[in-house]
Amino acid sequence: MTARGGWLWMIGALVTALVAFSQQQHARDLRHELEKLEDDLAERRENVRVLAAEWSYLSRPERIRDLADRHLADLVPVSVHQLSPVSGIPLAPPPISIGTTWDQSGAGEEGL
Amino acid sequence: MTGQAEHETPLVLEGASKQAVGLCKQRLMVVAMCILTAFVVIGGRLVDVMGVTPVEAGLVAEATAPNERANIVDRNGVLLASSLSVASLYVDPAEVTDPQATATALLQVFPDMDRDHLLGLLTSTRRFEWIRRKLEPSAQQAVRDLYQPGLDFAAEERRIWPQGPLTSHVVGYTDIDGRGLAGIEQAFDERLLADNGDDVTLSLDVRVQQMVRDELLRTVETFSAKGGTALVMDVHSAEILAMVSLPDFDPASPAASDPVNRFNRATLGAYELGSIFKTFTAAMAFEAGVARLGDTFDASQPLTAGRFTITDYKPQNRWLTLPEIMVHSSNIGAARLALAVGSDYQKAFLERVGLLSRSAIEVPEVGRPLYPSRWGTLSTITIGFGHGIAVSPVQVAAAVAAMVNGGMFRQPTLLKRQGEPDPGHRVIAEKTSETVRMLTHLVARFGSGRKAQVEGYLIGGKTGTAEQPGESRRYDRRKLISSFVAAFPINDPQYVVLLSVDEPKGTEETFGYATAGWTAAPAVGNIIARLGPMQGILPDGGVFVGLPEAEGDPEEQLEMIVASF
Repeated sequence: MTARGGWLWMIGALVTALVAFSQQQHARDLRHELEKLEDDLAERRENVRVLAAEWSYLSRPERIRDLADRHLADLVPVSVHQLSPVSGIPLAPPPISIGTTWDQSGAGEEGL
Repeated sequence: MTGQAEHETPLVLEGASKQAVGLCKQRLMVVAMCILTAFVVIGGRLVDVMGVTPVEAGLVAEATAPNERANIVDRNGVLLASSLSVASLYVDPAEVTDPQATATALLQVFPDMDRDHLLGLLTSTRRFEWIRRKLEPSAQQAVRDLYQPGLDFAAEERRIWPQGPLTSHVVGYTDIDGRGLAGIEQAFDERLLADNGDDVTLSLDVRVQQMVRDELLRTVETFSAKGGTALVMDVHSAEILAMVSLPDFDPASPAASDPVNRFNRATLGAYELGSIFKTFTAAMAFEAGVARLGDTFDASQPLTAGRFTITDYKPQNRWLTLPEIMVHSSNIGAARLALAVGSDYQKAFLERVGLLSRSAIEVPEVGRPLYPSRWGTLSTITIGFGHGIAVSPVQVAAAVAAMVNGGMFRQPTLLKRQGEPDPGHRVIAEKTSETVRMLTHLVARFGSGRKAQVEGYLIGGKTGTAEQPGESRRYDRRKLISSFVAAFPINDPQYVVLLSVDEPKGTEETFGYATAGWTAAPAVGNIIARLGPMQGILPDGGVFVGLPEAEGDPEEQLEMIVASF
């Protein structure tokens, strides 16, 4: 009984030690992965900043204006005449009554 | 079991033996307890270790987050200033084995560097010397390819301004260590450097800014002016959508420009803006009740005050009503109004609309208004038509906004308003504001502001042409500041546009005139014609609400309108 108990304890300790060791390794791997991801994230963040700066540079109103002058000669700035309030758009015309013809065809369909 | 127990001879311990066994059991128990406790502690620690410990992960994340200077963006999020990480080259002279060879190699990459200076750095007794800071990526690679010992790179931050000179005066610039030296960069230095570093969102709109800069640049070039300034302000929130000062500079290399280029005329300059001040004089006369619309004032002959004689640019030689004083821009009339109002009221009024103290605008470059310390009768007269007082254009725009927006004054701001706008404080009655709108509209329709008229929108405005003191400190007739301030659509103003040109020269098209009506007014008209559709302001009916219909030539129309009051 005592001997068996001792073995149990020993195996238990061994298993626990193994589990603890593997967990430690796992944690270390995860930490490395985290560091890599952090680096990756920082690099990507920096890339985003560079791209945002480039985008701002390339979409300068001055540059767009010059490009538009060169390639979109037909387009001009919006003038006040091209603006109109929504109320200025005429309403859809009232539905036209087509009277009996419609009624008859409707009735005919119902009959079918 | 019981039977077995009967024939087995139980071991009976007595005396010393019994005592010894008991002691043994006790000791075993103690040892077992100790081991158990140890196991429990170890087990507990195991659980603790195996459980994810987010505290540690948090620490790692924080340590790697770069502490970059925050961005500055316009009201629509367009990047105006940002920071990028770049490499800077330094040397540890103790590790340099052959300074001559290293210097030769470095000179291949940086041919503009001085060899002796470079050798001095490479043989320095210190352990750290910058060789060149903020390298381009290609230069960094070229230095790496030299394989010279002692050279190394440090990551630094480089501030960039993708919009270039467009917003230079507002955004400002930094030194090589990323400290703000001007504009918003300086005013918000601490906030930009703070750890959480939120973007600073300005009230500017780069599209409006570009359009205003184009128009101002064209005006400055057309009239061979020394420079100029223009701004667009929202009358209800006092947010500035565009603020341009010309000449301007590239914030990436401010030192390469003349100091004059770095001078922000819109905020730091203090100018006598002349007749624009008649708008305030008319408003205070109406508000104080000393002038109703139909009342007339004697402008039949020049007004003498002390050594000075006040004359009109276009003398009418008769008694004028308030609208006529504005339309003909009568100095004599404005002087009479100012005298009727009185010095104390005039001073208090100008104080209320923020014209006697520095503007609260966010940039550090803010000019102090200049006005006489002794505000006597003569000062009252000259200030009545905008002479003897020098203020910054942004102050005038804010004061004009208060005149036309229903009477609420707000300090001008370069930051986008978040949430509820500043309630402001009342400076004139709603009725007075309505009257000012009508008066400025008459100026734009019949007076010196005619060339600012735009198809589709009714505008109100006032010109101001002032002579500047020449070298002999006397006013020089050829050195003008020509300005125009306008509000539109004048029936329900949304924006104030102010433009001012410094020393314009007349051209053939303007018959040699360089006054505001010929220079600044048409430019403001162009700005309004483009700003309206940009901001989606619908064309108005072309009728000023509350004015009688008038027909005939402009003079007859004005007569009919004046007669109706």
